[in-house]
Amino acid sequence: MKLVGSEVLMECLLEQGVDVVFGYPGGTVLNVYDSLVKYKGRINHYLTAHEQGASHAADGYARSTGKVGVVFATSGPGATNLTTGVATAYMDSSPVVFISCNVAENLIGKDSFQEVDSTGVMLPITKCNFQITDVDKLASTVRKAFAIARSGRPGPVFIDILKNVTAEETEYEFVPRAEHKEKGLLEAIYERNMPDMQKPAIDEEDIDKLVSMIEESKKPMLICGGGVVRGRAHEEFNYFANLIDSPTAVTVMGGGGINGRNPLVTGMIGMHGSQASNIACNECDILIAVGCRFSDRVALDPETFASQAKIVHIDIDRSEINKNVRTDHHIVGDAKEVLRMLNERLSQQDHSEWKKFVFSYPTETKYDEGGETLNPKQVCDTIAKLMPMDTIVSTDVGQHQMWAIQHFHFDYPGQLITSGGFGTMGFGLGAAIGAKVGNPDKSVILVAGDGSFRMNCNELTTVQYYGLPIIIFVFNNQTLGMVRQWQNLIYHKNFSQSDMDRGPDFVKLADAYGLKGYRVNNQKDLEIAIEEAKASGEGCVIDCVLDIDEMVRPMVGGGSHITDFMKI
Amino acid sequence: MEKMTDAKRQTLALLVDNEPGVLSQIARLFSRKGYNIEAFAAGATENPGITRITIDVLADDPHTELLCNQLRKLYPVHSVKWLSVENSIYRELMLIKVKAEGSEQRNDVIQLANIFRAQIIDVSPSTLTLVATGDEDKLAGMANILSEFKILEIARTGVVAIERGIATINDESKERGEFNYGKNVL
Amino acid sequence: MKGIFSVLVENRDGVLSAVSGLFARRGFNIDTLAVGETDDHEISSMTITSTGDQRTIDQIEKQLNKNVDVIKVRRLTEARSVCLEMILTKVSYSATTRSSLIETCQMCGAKIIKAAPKYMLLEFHADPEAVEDFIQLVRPYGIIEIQRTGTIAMEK
Repeated sequence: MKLVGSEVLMECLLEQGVDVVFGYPGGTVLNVYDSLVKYKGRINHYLTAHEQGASHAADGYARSTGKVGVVFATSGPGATNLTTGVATAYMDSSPVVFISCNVAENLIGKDSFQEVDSTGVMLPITKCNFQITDVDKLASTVRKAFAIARSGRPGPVFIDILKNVTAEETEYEFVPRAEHKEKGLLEAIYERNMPDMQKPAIDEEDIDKLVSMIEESKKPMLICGGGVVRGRAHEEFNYFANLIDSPTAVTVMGGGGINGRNPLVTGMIGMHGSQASNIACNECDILIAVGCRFSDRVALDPETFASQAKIVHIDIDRSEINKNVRTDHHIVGDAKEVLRMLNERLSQQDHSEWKKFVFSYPTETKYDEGGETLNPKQVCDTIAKLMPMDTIVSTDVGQHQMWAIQHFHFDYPGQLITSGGFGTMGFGLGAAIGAKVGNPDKSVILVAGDGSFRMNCNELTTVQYYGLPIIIFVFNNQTLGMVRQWQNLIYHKNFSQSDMDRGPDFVKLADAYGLKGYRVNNQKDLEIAIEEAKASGEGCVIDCVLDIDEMVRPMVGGGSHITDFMKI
Repeated sequence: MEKMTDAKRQTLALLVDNEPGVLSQIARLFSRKGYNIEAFAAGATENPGITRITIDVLADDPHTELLCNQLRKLYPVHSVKWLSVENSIYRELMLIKVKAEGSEQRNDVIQLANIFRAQIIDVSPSTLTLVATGDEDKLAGMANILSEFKILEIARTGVVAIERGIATINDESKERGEFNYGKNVL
Repeated sequence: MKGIFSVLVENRDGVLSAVSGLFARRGFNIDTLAVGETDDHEISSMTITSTGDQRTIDQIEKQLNKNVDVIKVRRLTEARSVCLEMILTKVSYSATTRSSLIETCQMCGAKIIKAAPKYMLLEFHADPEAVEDFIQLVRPYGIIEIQRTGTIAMEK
């Protein structure tokens, strides 16, 4: 069948089962948007307020559904506006295919209008990227891009298509996804790795060694990382934790990798980790980390981290092994598969003595009750009480993010959507939009801070236009809370440029976008607002007033020993 | 970046896809981590789609291992071999143009060239161009001695290296399988 | 057409990726790239060969000149320059093919660096075309591994 490039692109998206695209049109991508009309009903396009919003939306869509997110953008500023979203997806291993068009071939490399070396810009922040200059290679490149985005350790892939390519004709033949590996560029990858692909990748000896290590251990400790979430291995992980009866810490990215109400969970680990997690990590004799990369926020000081333990690392990405901390044993493989093999071989362990020791330390932070203003735990608890159990929580970055992760219980992968690695303020609203689009049957809330929310609140227009019932909680303490906390503790209370003592009024802002806004400073009003918001079935903003000096507790300074809790 | 106390010259051999942007991507990986590439030689192999690269970099052993791991992670990289001095043969090709006016000077240069088994490849009334191969030390020594004449220009290929013995860069290993697994579970 | 660039650059990190990025940006493949030291440790010389149309090659030359770390760029033509490339290769042989392999090496002027029971390690340098011919000549014996340096060039 003869089609033009932009139609081939649409057909390729359909091959992949894509029915949702986020994006923003512009000069070079016009052919693509022209074809989009023909595919109405099969490919639904969501127009955001800004390319960055689109990039976060596709990311949130991918994280919450486990499918690949897709973004369209134009050349030049369109592509560079994506970069923060691309880097966010890269750091958190989220599968998103970003598609932009570039100027036509006769203009490339001449500093033409809206031209930028997009693939060069994207190089360090994508898993892989392609520039398509030949329409005959379009289909196979798109197929390869999707395969790479979702394979192994997932991640963003960027495709830059020259404008002339989107208008040129080529022969297109439908190939079902299952057959992609026998056709085109993917065939080459397969050929290259055939011996590795055919033999079982996970080494049985490695598994057996770990089984005997676990059986010898008296004080085991588990870390549930983002790999468990990306690999959708929560059931296997839950079973595994119960089987070895081990206290389990959860990283920021690992939220939802284990049932949040499982009594083995010690809470977060690392800089804002609970006492139980951090002390157990320091005392254990074996530490098994699954899909976790020991970032500087988890293994604060790599030299002294879990110094009494044998460290075992299970990860799909071989280059993570021995990168940040030295490990004693590792297994390379998909978390789901590795854990299934381990579960088959392990017998039920019992570590009640060790658990008793670990859980003698608190897993949650206590706050003073009954004050005049709201406290963070109170807000989280109230939300948790009134919203359905399976509500998807998207967050921005800062204090509110830590509070949300500390106090909510996440039970399944994709329930928590947060920018853990890159720490992108302004991520949450776009991501919540993507999550809601991908999960129309679930409630979606955004937990934002006043600083983060202000960054990309332009996407309220997307919430309103598409009628997405997202409830936005702004944890408003009139300051960049995390910055203030550091200034308070480390910079001698020199609060430089962290005050948010200025507009906008979020209630009026919501109104301007055609949404309802509430301002609450006590439990009762908060409850009323949530009930009203739920009943309305529309998006709304609930501005929760918090004390300016509220801190995230506990806290361990960067690079310090993991049990060196600051006195707050 | 942190100071490396045991930094020494390390040689890595790579097989990569012969496609636009791949060399840049690899070079970038080194610069991002703050390693300066001392020498870099990329040339075709017997397989038309594949380029083989030899890279010389100053780094200590743990950092070199880290670099290898990061390289292996890149899609266009097929394999990486960290070559050891004991087990490998190093060669470099050097073109050097020196000023030599008059028969006496020219004879001196030719004599020195003979000592290093360099060939005279081009002669002009006032210059001689020599080509020599050898390991780095030999070439450095030759350049040093010739500097008594005026050196007009030097071009070196950068070191290329190949392992002694029947082992090749293509050999399968468990580690290589592990890296490919992470890349390509489609 | 073939473009041969001889480029003098600052010997510091990031320069190689910047220079190779210039080519990538135009979807332009680098055929060979050789980076080596000069007599001054602060300066490296790069020789880059690439194939493309005249205009793109001109544009790349301009862009190279613009880069702050590039000290000097020279475009060389094959006719007016000495172009050389070296290869190291491991070639396998058997009792029956041994003497003909040695003969081939002698005929071409390749050096046998090492002769082991099953393979010979050869070094050969010549202009890129002759290197290509040499590879064709030894290919029937069985090439185990090969490494080419990429072209270096100097004006005559």
